[in-house]
Amino acid sequence: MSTLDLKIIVGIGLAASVITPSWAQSDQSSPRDTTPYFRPAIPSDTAGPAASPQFARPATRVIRVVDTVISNTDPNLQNTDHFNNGETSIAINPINPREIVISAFSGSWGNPQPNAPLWHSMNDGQTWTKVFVIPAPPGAAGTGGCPCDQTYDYGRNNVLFGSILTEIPATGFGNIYTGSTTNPKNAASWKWFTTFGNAQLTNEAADALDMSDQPWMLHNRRTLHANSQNVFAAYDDFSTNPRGMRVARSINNVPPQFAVGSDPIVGTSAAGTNPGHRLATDPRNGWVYSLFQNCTTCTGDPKTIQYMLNRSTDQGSTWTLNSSATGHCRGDC
Amino acid sequence: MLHAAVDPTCGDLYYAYGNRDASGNNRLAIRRVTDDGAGGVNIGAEVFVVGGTVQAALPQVSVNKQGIVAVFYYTYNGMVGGFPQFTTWLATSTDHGATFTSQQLKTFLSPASDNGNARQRVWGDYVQMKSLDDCFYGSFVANRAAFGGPFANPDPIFFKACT
Repeated sequence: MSTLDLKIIVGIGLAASVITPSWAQSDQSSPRDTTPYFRPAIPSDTAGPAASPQFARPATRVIRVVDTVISNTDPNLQNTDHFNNGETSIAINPINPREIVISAFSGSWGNPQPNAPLWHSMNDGQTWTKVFVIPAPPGAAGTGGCPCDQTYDYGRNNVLFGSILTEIPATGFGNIYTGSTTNPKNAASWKWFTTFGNAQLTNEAADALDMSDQPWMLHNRRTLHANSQNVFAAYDDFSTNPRGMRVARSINNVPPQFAVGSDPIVGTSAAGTNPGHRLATDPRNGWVYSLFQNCTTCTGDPKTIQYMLNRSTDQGSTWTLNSSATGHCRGDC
Repeated sequence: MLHAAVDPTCGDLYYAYGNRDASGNNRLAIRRVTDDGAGGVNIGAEVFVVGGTVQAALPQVSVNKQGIVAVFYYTYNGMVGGFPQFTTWLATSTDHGATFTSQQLKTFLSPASDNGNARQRVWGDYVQMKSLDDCFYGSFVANRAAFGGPFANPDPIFFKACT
């Protein structure tokens, strides 16, 4: 059995809320840590790399490693930006790979501008612009202090998709909204699918309302042909114990649309560790994989973790792997 | 935490994860998942991307169009100047994840020390790396001061590496 120590410094922490179910308090990702962590620079900040083991010649050549605040079209931003800037996602435009988008906790709706920010580059990541282009989803609750967890991915034809978590203070969790744009430099281009003027939830399952966490969204092709804009958003449903691992699907809609029943359970994760629910897509055939953690012995330190894998070969309608509908792990997991 | 990616050349899937040993080293491992020829998969043996005396975390795996498997990760190096020091790495494999070679991306101090809050997440709990054609593109969080900035502050960092 594999074991994992979750006490590593960059790991996840604890949370509590008066009405959050007890099983959900020890392992949720939300709420985000919004603490500003700036301090004056010290000489050790630029003292160089630590001693490292000797390695053979790598297979890749590092082109660049760039700080998006310093290598920025606003030369003064490095003096004024004190946002937390944590938890990054990246999207590369396949039509123009020189166009790259990064998201982080670099602001929120209303702070410092009405729209939430993205980091945008048009020159292969050499320089970046902080663009405030994501409007709050209309009618959504819990937008204060968010976007919380967020992931972005490019589809076809210059379409950038983004899934964003809000936060409901009463539960400590939130809801997920997924929109799209064909011009990440222009706020007016961002689109949410709305019904009666309200942005549609990505977490459509009734149980998951106000109880969702950590969306992980990817675009993929259709199973039968490549010309499609399928979007899949994995998330954690903390309304039950064990927690439901769900994957929402939008089939060829821009902006994405998630019908009721489009986010089936693909597995479960026992309380005790964050599920870390992630997706992987097969660009050859449109298949989608779901990967998550399941804590089997959570009382000790380190905890014992199963790594569970599931798969959909029909665009997220059904999930099964090695005859299991809730995920498969290797014999010794 | 964990992450997975599909090899676009053949459909094999790789997933990377943490695995702590009996001595308290937080190592990173990877498994290759292959078609079993009967509609299911075989999950391969565990291979350590980084082992030994190490504190590693937040792996991201991706596979480019040449079938090169890359794993991004952080390591904690110890305390320097009163703050935790970290290095980010890119490990690559040319033999379907059987062996890996790592190269440093950046070494930096945390802008903060332990504040006693169990929910403190200076770098957060996820980052992301993807591939397009022959290149790997990633984002992670590091200290602005390590890049010559006037303050120590967590910033979004971009990297690109190509075969």
